[in-house]
Amino acid sequence: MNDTNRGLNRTLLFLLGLILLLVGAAVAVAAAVPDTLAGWKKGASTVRQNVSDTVTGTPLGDTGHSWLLVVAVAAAVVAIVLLLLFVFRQGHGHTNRLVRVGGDTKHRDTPTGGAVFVDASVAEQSIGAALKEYANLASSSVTTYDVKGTTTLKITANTRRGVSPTDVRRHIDGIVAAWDSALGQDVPVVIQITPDSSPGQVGRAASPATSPDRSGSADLGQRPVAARRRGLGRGARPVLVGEANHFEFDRRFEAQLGEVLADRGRHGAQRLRAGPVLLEGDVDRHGRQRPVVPDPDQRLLSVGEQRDDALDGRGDQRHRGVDLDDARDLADQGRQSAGELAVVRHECSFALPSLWVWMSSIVTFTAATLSSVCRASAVRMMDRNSRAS
Amino acid sequence: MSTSTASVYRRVLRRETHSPRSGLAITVAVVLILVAAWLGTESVLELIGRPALLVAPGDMLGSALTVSDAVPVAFLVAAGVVVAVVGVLVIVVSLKPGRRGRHTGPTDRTALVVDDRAIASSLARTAAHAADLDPDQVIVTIGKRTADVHVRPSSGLPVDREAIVEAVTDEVERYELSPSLKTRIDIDKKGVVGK
Repeated sequence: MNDTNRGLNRTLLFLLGLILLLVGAAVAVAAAVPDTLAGWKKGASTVRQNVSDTVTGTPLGDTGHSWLLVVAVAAAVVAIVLLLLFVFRQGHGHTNRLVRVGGDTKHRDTPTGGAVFVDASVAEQSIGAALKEYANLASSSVTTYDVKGTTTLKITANTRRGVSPTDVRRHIDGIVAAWDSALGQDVPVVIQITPDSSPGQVGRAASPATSPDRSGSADLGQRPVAARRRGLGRGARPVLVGEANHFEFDRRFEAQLGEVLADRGRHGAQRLRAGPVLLEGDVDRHGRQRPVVPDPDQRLLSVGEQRDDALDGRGDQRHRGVDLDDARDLADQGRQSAGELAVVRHECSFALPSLWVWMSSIVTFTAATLSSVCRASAVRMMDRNSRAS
Repeated sequence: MSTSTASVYRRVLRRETHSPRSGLAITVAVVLILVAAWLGTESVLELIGRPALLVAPGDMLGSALTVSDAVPVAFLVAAGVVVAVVGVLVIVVSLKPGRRGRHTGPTDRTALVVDDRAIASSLARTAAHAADLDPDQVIVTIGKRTADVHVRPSSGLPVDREAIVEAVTDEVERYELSPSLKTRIDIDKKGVVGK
């Protein structure tokens, strides 16, 4: 699911293999054939002469060294940087944004550029909580990837021994259908079914099942459930998150948003209850407003949604949860009434800092080396000058 | 399903069932980084007139030229062959598809990747049900296109071969895997002490 450049991996391996093959074959052939071996021995002295000519022909000041050595250092540094880039390029592709509606700065598709983001953790927690209820799974995880610009959910289901993958798939499809109707739009979902790793596996694809299950009940395992879960469990409160870097909210916007949610709760879905609108804890449960202070950390709006069992796979699948267009319009209105609502991006860039640290330390190392070389040659020159005088 | 979703599914399923070759590529890159760092360090030490860590750059060239005198010919040939074989192996790894032990299911609203071990586990249970055996007496091995079911009956109690074949074939068909699996049932002549 990640966006590792696999072609690049294979190209590097192919080139290295080719070099090894050519060098190895050349050495073997040269040594095995007597004529070429004699030529090699004879050629050695010529090559040595040429090398020493080259070295004396490329002096570095009057240090007695060739500047080819400096070139070698630079080449080594460049190679190291490129290879580090290559290594750090592996993996990646996670995203923490599930859906964005509006707010594109280039093509403003809303009057004021307001936007609503749905955080990936909304899906991860909701679906994760629903999966937790399913007895055939020992554990599960939900992660979000950006696959060539399309946000994609990956559900990993670790099944208990002997559970049919078809059953697991059908159950998860039900959860996904419920999630689709809650979100109001389809996000690609990839399900990966793996066996719960436990001792007793033979080989990589052989598995004697354990615990006979002749009654046909679903639950096979008695072992404690592994704890690789991210869901919050029943009654989790998925949070719809929008972000702004500069705004002041007024009460009108907050009331409108609350109304929309309440409305959907009454007419759209029996199970979806609108919760109070929370502005970073500045509004209490009854909607009574306390002074709203623009948050320096750029977090703006959390719509708390109490979702007890909308996603348990049995829910009424006709309902829609939060209508993103409505929410976007509300964000617009909020901006109009309050003046300023610009939405900032919430990007995850966990690998870049370490890469920059690496690169800057390499640059520092090179600079330090070069300066010490210069200092050494300057000292030597001063020595020579003082001796001369 | 929109075309973009279909292409996302195609891409993800292909990538989930084949190896990225990251492990070997990263290993190679790290080795090359170490070699480059060492060469760079030796060059710098030479420049500032410090003794070399292992070999000075000039000596490296010299010994490469005189290696034909210093080392017996047989060693040279052997070393060259070994290096060439390693090169061939690396080339083969870089070109082979590198299938992982996974199969894909039918794509609908969602796409599905199933680990071969999960398939084996499910089939073992199916066969054990059909033969009324302990699942430990069934060993299933999943290949790219085959599912081998190896049954060890309890001694003195013949198993119903037809029932196993039918149950396992039905179950495999239900999976609709790609590449599809051909089942092969193999029942031990000798029984084990029943459990």
